Amino acid sequence: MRTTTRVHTPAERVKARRAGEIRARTVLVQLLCIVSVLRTILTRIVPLAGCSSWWIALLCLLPGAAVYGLLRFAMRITHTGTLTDCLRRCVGGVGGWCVSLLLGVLLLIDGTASMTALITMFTEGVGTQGTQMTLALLTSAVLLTCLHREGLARGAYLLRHVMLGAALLAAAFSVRDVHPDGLFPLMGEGVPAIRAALAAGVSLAWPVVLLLTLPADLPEKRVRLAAAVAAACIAVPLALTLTIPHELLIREHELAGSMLLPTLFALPAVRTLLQCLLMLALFLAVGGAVQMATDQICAPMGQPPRWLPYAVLALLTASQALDIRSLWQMLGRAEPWLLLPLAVLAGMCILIALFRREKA
Amino acid sequence: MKQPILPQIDRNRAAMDEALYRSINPDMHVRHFCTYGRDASLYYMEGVVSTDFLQRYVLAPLTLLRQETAESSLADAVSNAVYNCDVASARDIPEAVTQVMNGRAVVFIDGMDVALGFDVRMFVRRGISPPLTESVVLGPHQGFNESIRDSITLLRRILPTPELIGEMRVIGERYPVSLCVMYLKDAVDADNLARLKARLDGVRTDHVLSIGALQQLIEDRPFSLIPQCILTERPDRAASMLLEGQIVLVLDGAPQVLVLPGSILHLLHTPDDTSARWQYGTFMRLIRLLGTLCALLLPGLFVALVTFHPEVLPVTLLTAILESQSAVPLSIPAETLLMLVMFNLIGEASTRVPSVVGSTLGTVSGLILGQAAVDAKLVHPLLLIVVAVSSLGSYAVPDYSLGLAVRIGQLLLLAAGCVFGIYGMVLFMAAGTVRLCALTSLGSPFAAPMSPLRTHNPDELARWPIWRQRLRTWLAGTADQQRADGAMRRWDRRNR
Repeated sequence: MRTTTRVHTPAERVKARRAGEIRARTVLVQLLCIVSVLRTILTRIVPLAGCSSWWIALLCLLPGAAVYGLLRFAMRITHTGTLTDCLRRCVGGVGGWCVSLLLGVLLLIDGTASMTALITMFTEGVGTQGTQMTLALLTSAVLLTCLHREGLARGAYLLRHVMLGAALLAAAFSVRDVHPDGLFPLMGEGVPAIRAALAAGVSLAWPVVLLLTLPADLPEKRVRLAAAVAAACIAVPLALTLTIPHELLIREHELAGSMLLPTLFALPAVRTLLQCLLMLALFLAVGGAVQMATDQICAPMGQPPRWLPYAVLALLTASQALDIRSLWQMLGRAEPWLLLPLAVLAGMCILIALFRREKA
Repeated sequence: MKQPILPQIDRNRAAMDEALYRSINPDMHVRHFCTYGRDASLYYMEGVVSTDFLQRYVLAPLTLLRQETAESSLADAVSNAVYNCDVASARDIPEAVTQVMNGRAVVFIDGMDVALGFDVRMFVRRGISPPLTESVVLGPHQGFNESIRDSITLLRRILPTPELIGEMRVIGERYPVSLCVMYLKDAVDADNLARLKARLDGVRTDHVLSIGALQQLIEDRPFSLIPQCILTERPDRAASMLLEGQIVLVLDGAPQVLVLPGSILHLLHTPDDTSARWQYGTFMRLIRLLGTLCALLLPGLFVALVTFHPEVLPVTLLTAILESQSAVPLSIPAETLLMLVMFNLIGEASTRVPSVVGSTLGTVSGLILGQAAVDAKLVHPLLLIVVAVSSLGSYAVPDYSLGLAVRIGQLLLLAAGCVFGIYGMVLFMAAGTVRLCALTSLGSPFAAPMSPLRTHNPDELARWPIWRQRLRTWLAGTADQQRADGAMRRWDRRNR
């Protein structure tokens, strides 16, 4: 029964409207983060590490959190509201544009991985007939109809309750299949597998950096709530991996089909529900990645040209023309390095900011 | 170049006769008479003026005046003589013609370089009757009619305040129609009003046939399946929207008014929700939402589940479906499509046939045709139930245009379900939701206040008590945001 803040002046009204838009965009970025983290855990870490994947996943979240903390620190000492402003202040206009371009490229890689995962879910998990390219074209055709800067964020904001409800429902029905003994042995498949899983998942949490690109207009209480919801969204599917009898798994981690691992042993209706949920989340994440990549690439120009998101989507679709195994392997090689440039950037920004402060 | 009115009456007569095509237009009448000792002519159109009034209060006083007037201005003298009517002067022939076409009686007098139009209008019009497409259980049973004057009066009766502004204008370049832009001065958002006026100014058409045509000319995304303006034939509903800061367009000849900007919630709400107690209002809304979702999803879901995801269905149900299906020659998607087309056909036929045979048609088509289809083993009984429930759901959608959009969406979702199962439907729904959220109505987000969040009352899908709804919506201007100063139930200590 609570209404939003009362608005009496035009300035307050603009502020309230802006807050509404930012809240919607934050939900889209959160969704992108959750999908990216889950995709990496389910497709890269679980097939390699087996029983030890739960703590490896938690450990792999730390580097991303550290880079996020460093960049926030840089923003605080430069007194800037967004990452883009902070970088512009530290490394200048051209440097800022280079960094936006970098974020755009990272988003493109993430979008390609999500799209590949979506197509693989169709072909391997659901068993839809059709080639990889046909399905990619069909998905892109559907995406094409809804590539809209505000529309995607607002859509994600509207669907968040539906997705959360479906996730909770599926989790509630799957609780009885959880095997707590899946937590052990801690060393899982052995040290080489753990090392490989750690290497594969080191950049797991890189998309959290994207949260810094949005103006921090939300009150602290809401940020904490959003972080708690996002953590729960990652923890619940992680807990669902405990329903997987690891001894029955075929160690096939070359394809994104293992996205469906938590659904394999669920009740038929719950499986369908979970698959729908994953598909919906992946679909929105691909759209969000395309839109945000476009925004980042064109950050210095302001409003991107109208055709650009479509061109980026075409690029993503074209990537599906590659052999899916080769593509997945290429993405697997690239993904662990996604955090590195951001870490370098964070260090560089802090050093420059501190140096300037010292000089002043 | 507009032809001016000249002091020589013969030339004015010739110009008017030509402009009104009097030689081939027998309902354009002219009466020649003498007044103030000069030749005069009175032009009017038969059927739109009160002949009795014209005779008694315009012609009689004028013909009685035989002497030259002592007043300096002849026009003033004539205006003073005919004191029962509103008078408007015309400086050129086209203006005089417009006045005749609008139902005025226009007088030309020799030596006078203006024409005087006397308001003696009396159009044929329908009385106030209950609304046809928006009937309610609780609340008034009055609907707008085709007369712009009556529609404005109905609104003014509900909101008797000078703050209710009604700006009159015309739309259509060659054959203009009267249009009234109504808003509450303190509640309306000035940006929205300016945007709407700019759009109306930018309409370039010879004539606007109906309010639906006007809607298509001014709405944000005409290619979208979902309407972005609200059409209503209920004055109480239009008044409630005026109170929320929305703008009402009343077009002459249209028994509905157009309300802008709107949101998807406006299309799902009915006046009953507000009239009923909040618990009942919420219950009705949830039932309506369920109906809308059934209409949209049920046929596609049925096909997707039976064809692609049979494991989700209980074994007994699946067995029953497959057993009955084995005797039917058509596939499940084909059967469903056939039934949906049939139901749409019945809906369309019932709308077009005279109301006397409407109930017969419903019985024949609903019972006999459905039963015959089952007996002939063209469809199986469960599918009949599914299609019937979804059709009932589509009739529960309160807005006619949205109901049609739901019926088209139902077919599209059926296609998605037939080709890709539930996953296709999920992708289609996701794309549809994003498209819906991307829509705007007069620049305001169409899915607001749900997405993005906007200032709102607790009156979205659930309707909370009326005394908690103290604010105007996000569509209102900032001048007067609160509907009540303090608690509405001030006498009640518990609900302050």
